[in-house]
Amino acid sequence: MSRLREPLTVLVFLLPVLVLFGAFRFLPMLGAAGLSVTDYQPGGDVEFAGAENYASLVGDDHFLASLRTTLTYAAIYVPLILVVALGTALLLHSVPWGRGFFRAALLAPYVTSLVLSGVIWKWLFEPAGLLRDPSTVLPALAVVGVWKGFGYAMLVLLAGIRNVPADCLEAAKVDGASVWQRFRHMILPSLRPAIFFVVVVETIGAFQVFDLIYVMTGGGPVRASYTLAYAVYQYGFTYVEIGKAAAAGLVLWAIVLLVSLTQRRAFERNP
Amino acid sequence: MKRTAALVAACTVATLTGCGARPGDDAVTLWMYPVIADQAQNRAYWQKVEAGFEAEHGLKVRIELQPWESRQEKLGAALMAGSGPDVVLLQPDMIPQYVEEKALLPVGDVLKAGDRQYRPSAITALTVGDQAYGLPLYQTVTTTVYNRKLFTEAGITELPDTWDEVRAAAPKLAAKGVPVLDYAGSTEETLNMTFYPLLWQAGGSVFNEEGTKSAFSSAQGVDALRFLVDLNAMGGLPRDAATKRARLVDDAVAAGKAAMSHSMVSTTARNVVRSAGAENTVVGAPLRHRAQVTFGQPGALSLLRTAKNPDAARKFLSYMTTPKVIEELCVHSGFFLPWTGAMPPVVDDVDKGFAQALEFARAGDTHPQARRVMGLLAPHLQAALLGERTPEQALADAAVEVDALLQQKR
Repeated sequence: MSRLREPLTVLVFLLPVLVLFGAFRFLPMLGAAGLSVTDYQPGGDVEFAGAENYASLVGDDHFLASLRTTLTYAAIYVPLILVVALGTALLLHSVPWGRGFFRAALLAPYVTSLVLSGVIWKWLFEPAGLLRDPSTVLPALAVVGVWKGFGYAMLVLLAGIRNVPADCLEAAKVDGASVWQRFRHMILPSLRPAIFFVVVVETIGAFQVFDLIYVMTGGGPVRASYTLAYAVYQYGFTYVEIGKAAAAGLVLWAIVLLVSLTQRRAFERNP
Repeated sequence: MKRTAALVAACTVATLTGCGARPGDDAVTLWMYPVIADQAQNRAYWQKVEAGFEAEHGLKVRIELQPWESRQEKLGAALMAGSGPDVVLLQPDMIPQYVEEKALLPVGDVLKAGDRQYRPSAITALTVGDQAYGLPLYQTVTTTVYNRKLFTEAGITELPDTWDEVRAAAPKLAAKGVPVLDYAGSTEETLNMTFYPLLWQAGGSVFNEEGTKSAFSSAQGVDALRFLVDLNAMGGLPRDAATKRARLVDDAVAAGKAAMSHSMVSTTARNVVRSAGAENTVVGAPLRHRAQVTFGQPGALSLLRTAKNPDAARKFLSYMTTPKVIEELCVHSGFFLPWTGAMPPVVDDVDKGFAQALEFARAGDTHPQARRVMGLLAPHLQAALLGERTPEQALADAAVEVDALLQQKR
């Protein structure tokens, strides 16, 4: 009985998060999987549709274009946020005073309302017309995304940098290692787990980008910012094609899973 | 430790049961939108309706005031979640889609019970097959509104009322830094108030007569889109016309940032009066080209199939169509009465101008895929305005997509 007590206690403490995860993540996912093989009408009628919704996605040029748009956005956003977050983390680590203040200031965009910042960024981009030009809209959105999200990534990387022993860095400096050499051969290797975490989290975020698009461009101009998540929203709520939206959502989930696993393997192979 | 674990377990159970709890409620629910622009007046009017219906029928009604923005998305989400209203305000081009999705119940019996003669065009617009799915509450119309001061400053004394005259006025106004025509090309805008009136004025339509194919990729459609593209090239549209959103509070004509609108509602026209002065606000007839036509439609109440108590909801619909209720709504909203022969409730120059436009009103091209087609067509219109496609290419590309959709849905 006493052997069972400890695992049971652990289970009880885990229960809230398990329940919440089950209720708000796992069950909806199962529901989406079920909906994706149905033709679900707002009036309440449900018909089994088999793989029809998935087949319609394959033949939907806009869905395939949204996939390309999402990949392009991720290709701009992820490296950019990594560079900005790493740069600010290194700067923050090296400032001799006011570190707490700067950390809070740099984290401020992360806790700012996205609707509010979206409106302000729209004003800022207006004179240059960056959101009106299909060729500049994705980079412009990526800049806003990075501005909004780099604070969190910066904190993760800053924690990683602090784990590098200061005396080792000091010894390397005494031995004549340059700033670049210390960064390249000492800081960067010890940051690999933190970088992996940031890359995975931000890639997932890039694939799921919706709110920025919703607030700033509505998927335009000329569908240049029509991402996968926005397509899911439009299928589901604008066109009330819930089955197709659920199918698109599951495709998005599968892509994110695949990308995350691939990244994990890549990081494991090159420790 | 034991006590803490028990507390955690209890909280979890409480959370779970809380999630499933749903208050019992037998009130008729109406989703209404700000048809009365003044928020305080809007609230006061609907509170009066709630009280009046409850006093007359002894039944409860709950009126939920929703914003116009993303209304279709919100309604779709609520219906899917089973938390939609019993009665909702819909526009004619939304009704066929909801009928096709089996979301609405016919309301012809309530419509026939009244002693008023509704505008025939309104009834036609709200009828799918041989059943009416909406009870007209009011009639809207859009028309051409000018900021005369901007034309005068550009040396134009005669306000343009044909496309050719608008084209001719564009360079003179552009020289003063003012676009002649306001245009909101964002994909989130309804084309009923942007491109479609021009398409109809050019003699075109969105669908063929059978509703089986698109009809906008025609000489008339190209004419309409070329009109916009030409104006854009001359500086005759706002710089951000391709992606611009229409705003009531920051309307370009009212703000002196555009000289005229080809499709303005009366609420916005009153904003022009407030900012430019009554002497500089001219409410004209719809622009003339091959045809003189504009967008105007009934706002109608529809009964949802998921209504908890359809009988009570029908009683409420019947109450909403009584003359005293509708007349007061029209007085506050500035819209027209839905009955034939009915004059506008308030008569000033703005009302007179809009009343004269009523005879040219077209309630949109109703079709189960009407809103979806807008979503497909709008990005191609943007492409033409941004110079990425010619009007011919843009409309032909859009027609391919729309025809594929219509074929798939048949």
